[in-house]
Amino acid sequence: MINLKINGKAISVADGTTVLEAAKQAGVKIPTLCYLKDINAIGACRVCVVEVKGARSLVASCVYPASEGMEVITDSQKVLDSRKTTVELILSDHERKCLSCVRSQNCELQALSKELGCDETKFKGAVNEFPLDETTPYLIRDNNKCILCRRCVAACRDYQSVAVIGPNARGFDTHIGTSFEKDLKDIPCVGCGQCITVCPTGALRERDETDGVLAALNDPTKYVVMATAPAVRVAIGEEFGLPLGTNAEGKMVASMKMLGADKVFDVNFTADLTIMEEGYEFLGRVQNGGVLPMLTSCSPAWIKFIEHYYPELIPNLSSCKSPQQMFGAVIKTWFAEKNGIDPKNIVMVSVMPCVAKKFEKGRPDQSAAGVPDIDYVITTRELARLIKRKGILFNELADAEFDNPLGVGSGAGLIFGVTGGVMEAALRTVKEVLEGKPLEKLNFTDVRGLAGIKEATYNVAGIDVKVAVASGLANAKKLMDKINAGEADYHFIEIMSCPGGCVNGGGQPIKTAFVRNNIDYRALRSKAIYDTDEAMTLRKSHENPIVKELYATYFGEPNSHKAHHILHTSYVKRGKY
Amino acid sequence: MKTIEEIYQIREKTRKKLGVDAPASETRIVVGLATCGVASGAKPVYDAFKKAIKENKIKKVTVGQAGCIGMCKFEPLVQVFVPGQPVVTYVNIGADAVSQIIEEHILGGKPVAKYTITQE
Amino acid sequence: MSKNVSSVTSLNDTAFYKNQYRIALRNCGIIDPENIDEYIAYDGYKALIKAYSSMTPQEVIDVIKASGLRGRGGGGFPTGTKWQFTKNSVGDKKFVCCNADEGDPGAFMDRAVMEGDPHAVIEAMTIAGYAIGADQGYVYIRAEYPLAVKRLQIAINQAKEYGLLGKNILNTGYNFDLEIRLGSGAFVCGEETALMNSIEGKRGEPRPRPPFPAVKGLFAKPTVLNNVETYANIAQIILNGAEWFSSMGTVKSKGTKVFALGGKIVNTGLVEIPMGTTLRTIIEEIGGGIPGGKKFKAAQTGGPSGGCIPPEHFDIEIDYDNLIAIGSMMGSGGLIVMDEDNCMVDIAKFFLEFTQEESCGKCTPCRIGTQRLLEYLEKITSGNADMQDLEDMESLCYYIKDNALCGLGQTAPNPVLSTMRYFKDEYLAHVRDKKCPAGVCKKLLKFIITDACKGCTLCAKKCPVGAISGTVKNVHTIDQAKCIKCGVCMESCKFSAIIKG
Repeated sequence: MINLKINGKAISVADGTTVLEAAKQAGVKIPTLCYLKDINAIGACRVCVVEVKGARSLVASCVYPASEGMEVITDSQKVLDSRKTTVELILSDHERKCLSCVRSQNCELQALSKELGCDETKFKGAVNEFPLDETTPYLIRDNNKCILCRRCVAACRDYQSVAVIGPNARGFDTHIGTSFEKDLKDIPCVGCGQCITVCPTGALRERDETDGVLAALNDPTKYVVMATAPAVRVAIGEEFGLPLGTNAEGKMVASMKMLGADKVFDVNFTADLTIMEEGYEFLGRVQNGGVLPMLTSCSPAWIKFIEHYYPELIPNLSSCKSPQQMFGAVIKTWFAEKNGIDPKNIVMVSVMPCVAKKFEKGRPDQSAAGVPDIDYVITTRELARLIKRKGILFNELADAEFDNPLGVGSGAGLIFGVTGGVMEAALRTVKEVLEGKPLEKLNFTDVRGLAGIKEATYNVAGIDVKVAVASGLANAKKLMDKINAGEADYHFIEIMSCPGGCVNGGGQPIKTAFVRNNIDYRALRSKAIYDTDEAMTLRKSHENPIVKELYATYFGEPNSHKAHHILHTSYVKRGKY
Repeated sequence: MKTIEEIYQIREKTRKKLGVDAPASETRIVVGLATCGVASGAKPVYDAFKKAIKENKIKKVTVGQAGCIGMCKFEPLVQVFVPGQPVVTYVNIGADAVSQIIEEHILGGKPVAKYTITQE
Repeated sequence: MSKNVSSVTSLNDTAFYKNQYRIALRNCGIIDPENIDEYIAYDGYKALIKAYSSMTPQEVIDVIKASGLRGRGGGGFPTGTKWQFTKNSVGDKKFVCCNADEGDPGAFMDRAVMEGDPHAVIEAMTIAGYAIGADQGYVYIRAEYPLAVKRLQIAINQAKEYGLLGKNILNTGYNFDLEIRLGSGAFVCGEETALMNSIEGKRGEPRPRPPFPAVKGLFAKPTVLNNVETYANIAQIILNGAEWFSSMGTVKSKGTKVFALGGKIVNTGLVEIPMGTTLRTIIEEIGGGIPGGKKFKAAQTGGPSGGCIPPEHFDIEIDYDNLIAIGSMMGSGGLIVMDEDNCMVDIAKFFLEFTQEESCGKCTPCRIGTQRLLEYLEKITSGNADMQDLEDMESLCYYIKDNALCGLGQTAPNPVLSTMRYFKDEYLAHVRDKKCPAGVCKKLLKFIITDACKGCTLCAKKCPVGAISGTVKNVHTIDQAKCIKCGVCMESCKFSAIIKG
């Protein structure tokens, strides 16, 4: 233990504690801006400066280790003035269009400015002007609002091992960009959107599709179907002030009905369908000596990642479309036929915790009915925006239920929203179907939890099936390198691009650094999913009655020719340059 | 790879050649050829000395290079070490001065005063 | 002086050299840098052999410590202490690095050493490797020094050939290898942590300290980093002993320091003087004074991180602590002399433009703070500033000093602060009277034709923009709106009728 004094108060902290952490333990919140626990401790913004007795200058508490006998002052006039000046300097080179900024009132810079009593016009002078990068379908980079905290750089590099952005130029001209200032569309960015979720300001944002959705909702000639991914329901409440870890499915569905959608469905349904298709595909590979390990294909940023960085492993990928794309495909084929609607008049709006889904919907081989399976992808954040714009009082709504028939999903489908969920759902089905008797234990806890890589071996009908689960592409990379090195004897690997899975997707409500650094919000969102699954009676994909009906009346059986045509897809080799 | 003993032998041999402890057997003309010297035109001077020694078949005179001696305003700068005599420094010289230095100083034994520092 | 043979002298007899004492530069200009034998002839590698054969690593460090040698790169940290920290750090691998990224405008001491005596660096780094337990070294050298790179590479190759680098050096069982890494022109890469980032292949920008390089340096391993001139002293200290070295200099600054003399001085060049030599000796005796009989105004030391020494400190004994005490610093050794024609606000602006452009852009105070500081100076030199600006600028200076991440940022305001300290009247003249006393700041400059004008029309003919009008034999006038302040009229006037106003 280390003994030190914070503002005169004696405190003991563990070895390796930073001054920032020590202060929190002493009941003092030191403001930060660039600091993100585990990935971005670089002392760049200088907002967290404190006085340390004996130090030549102020020190950045986020990177300064506490040491024995240290005396720290966090609130002197000099410290407060310095922090204020730092934020005022940042504001002097920041495009202060706060009133119309997507991050207004959820902006860490704005909050700090208020907290520190800043005068946004204190410093006058040159202001950098950068063109927007609007070249991708999933995100927009607006460097005019960038404050160079580099959290996006760290997320891209450390969470995802993608590292396609970094600081370019120097001095006052420094800005975050790509190599050779290429457009985002021309670099091996995977579109996961983790950069957006760590951005303290409006410099990174999803490409907003709410206007298009609103127009479709108001167009009487269009039949609008909205469907939500598993992880949206456990996060959307945060946008309306509900506590972290609230499953707000009922209010979410109610508000979407008030938005005016013709049908409000649940993508959990096609998560179940995915298990059928992917499970049978896996069985086929095992029985027929196909390429193993098989890799899941639900996460579109992961697909783009493997296409850019491991194109040689594309044969390992399941050919199944993602649940989103399966959903659109089923709507525009089976549902359209059944209800006599021209698929051209259906507007399929997918509500996702993800921005890469905005890219996925425009991929080739994703148009089962000759029109794109999906028309709009809006994130959890955008759904909240739509609800607010329409004046819907989310918290006051009575819970509503998804429409039939595609509003039925099992608990297995729901847990797709958490890392390990696809694997667990698949195991529930494959084991029970192959062994021909009801499972005694439905929970496969070895593949649960927020560890980056999880491994387990399960006996399925007498065969030891070795599985691995990774979330965060940096962890996926480790597994892919293992496969390429011939050191992986797994049969089945689940990969989710975002650390923790879709609950922490790039389209989810943005948490400030203070929340990220101090609360395990991913665990809370995950818990809401597992708790809901636990309380459900329908917990296995193959028991989903609508899935059964779909096979009985339309596809015949999993992996049938028709199922292949509608529910499976293909991939492209992209390479890195 | 050398042994410590060999390094000491090299030391003695080279000291003799350079006339560090006792007069050397050869005259040495050393041209300052650091970036500063090169920039002010020392390379042609160096080449001119080399050429003159070779063409006139002058024996027991070597032309060498050295780094920066520190006085920028005198570049190009040449030092002449005649065994047994004080070193003579020529300053601000060009290749056109070389033949006179060779003739009068190296061959004639009389330093060319107009190119030395005493010119000021 | 007569021109007879007896008066023909070597440079060594001039006043320029008499006051010098050469340790770091001892071989520069003497030996052929591309011939290892000549280095060996002048006691080269003798110190390494001495260390290997008769000293323990701790004894080597003890000698360096006792010598009082401090880092010549600017900070002045005791070299022996740095080596001791690195030796004490636990690590499966350690590194010895040399900072040869000499970036201060007007400084070229390190280049001279590498071009004139590259083996001195190699030998010293090998000794450092022995002392701290490292078997790998890197010399980080700026690519703008192609000749230094070439000579250093030749020297490394020769040393390897002789078995003075590599495995089992001189059959002693010790290993040390050396590689060159080229810098790409970023000033900030002279900052130690930025330099290490750059060697690692990352963007050259500083990382927070602690951890210090002695604990977690290059590739996160304990690392010793010294600059070229520091290394150039090592072998001599090992050979001649700590007492010999510490007998030179002042109480807290031992040995010598190399300065690059530049600016308004007769003898521009490289000089190595014992610590404690007065500024007066450097400028008047070694430097030969100021050309044209002009008046000394200030000496700038420490490059963009340093400050200006005013006439009242002309007799200051130059050492680390004295310079800090008067608001400047030793820096790497640039010494630029200014006379009455220099505007001190303009000088501050010059250095700030440099640091502002060379800021790595990582931390806010440096990236945006120096930009705003520069804007204040622009406002002042263009006559648009008021007293409040002056006050705000000063507090911004102190803010940057206190808050910037690395040495570059923390010292960036020094040129402003030191000129404000000693030349406040010049700032006031710019702000209150909207005048530049030295006549440098163009926007405040006005050329005026006085009654002394004879109406010769020459100035009107010379004016490149046709700003001067008047008829023959009548006093001419300058259209201030058109005038570009080039000063051609003043130079051409035969009657001294044109003055700066």
